Amino acid sequence: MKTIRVNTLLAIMIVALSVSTLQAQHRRGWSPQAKGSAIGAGIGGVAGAIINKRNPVVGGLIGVAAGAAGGYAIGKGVDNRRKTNARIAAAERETALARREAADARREAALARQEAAAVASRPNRAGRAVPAHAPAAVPRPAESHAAAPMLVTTDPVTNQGKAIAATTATLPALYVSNALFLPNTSYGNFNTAYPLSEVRRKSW
Amino acid sequence: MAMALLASGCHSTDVVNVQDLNQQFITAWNNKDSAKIIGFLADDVHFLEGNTHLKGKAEVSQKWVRETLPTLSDLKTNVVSSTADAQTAYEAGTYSVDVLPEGPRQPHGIGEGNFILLWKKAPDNTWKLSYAQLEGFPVQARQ
Repeated sequence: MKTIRVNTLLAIMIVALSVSTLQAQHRRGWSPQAKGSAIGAGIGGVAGAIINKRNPVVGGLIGVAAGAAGGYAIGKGVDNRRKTNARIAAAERETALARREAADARREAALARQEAAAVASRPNRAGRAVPAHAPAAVPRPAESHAAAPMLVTTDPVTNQGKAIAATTATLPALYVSNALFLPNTSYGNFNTAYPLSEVRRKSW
Repeated sequence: MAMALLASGCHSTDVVNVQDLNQQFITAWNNKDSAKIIGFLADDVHFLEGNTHLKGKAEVSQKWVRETLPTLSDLKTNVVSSTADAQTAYEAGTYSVDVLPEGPRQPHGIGEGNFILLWKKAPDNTWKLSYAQLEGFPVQARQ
């Protein structure tokens, strides 16, 4: 009878300790390993005390140790799964960001090509002096496979002229480097005439 | 016969020489004479280019003339179409202009585009610029 009372008291104490530990963990945001260890220790302690009727204290301690070890293992597994999921989510975010940046780059390249085509499609006007450095007519895609005209551009670092074969593939790069056209310093300012042009168009 | 010649002469003086009018206007730009340029503007002048639509002499003077004048030189026009009558006259065509660098290490540019200048006779019989529309092409960097 006395042994049963001791066992009951011990079990109540261990359960109470486990509950309070769990609440504290919840508040502090402990790691899954710590949470698993605490739960395992509580359950193992109670089970050990009940199973070992001859010496509930020793049984409880053994149960606490075994339960804590098992709980730690389970918590570690949970933690590993969470970290794996977080890595996958981060990789997916990076992939989405890269896709968005690639789409933006394609859009900007298309805009530059449109503006280049607009320049190239202008006929030579009588009476207008064409500057000596002006680029030759930009070839249409079908023509670009034939003789690609050479554009003269200037390296912004060495300031030395170099010839570049003007194809529809190279023109966006020339726009980006602003070697042929001045940049639009008012890009995005909708109070200006050409807010969405990456190259400057306002001259008069 | 003499009366007929006199009548046609009177009629011809009513029609403005739009080439001369535009030449004065362009010369004022090249001379950086903002007062003379603004003097050509009608009170209800409109200026359109790209996304901008400026209305009235004050706004056009400030946002087109005064802001653009320091950025350019050697403005040239090539007239494609023009006409004039007793009340209106216009010239339209293409233009080219030297774009001055924005800073000490910035490049010169060459700007080109299309233009139309519409003149109307004011009540005081002077000719005023009533409507100007420009379309600028990408400014090429001068090599």
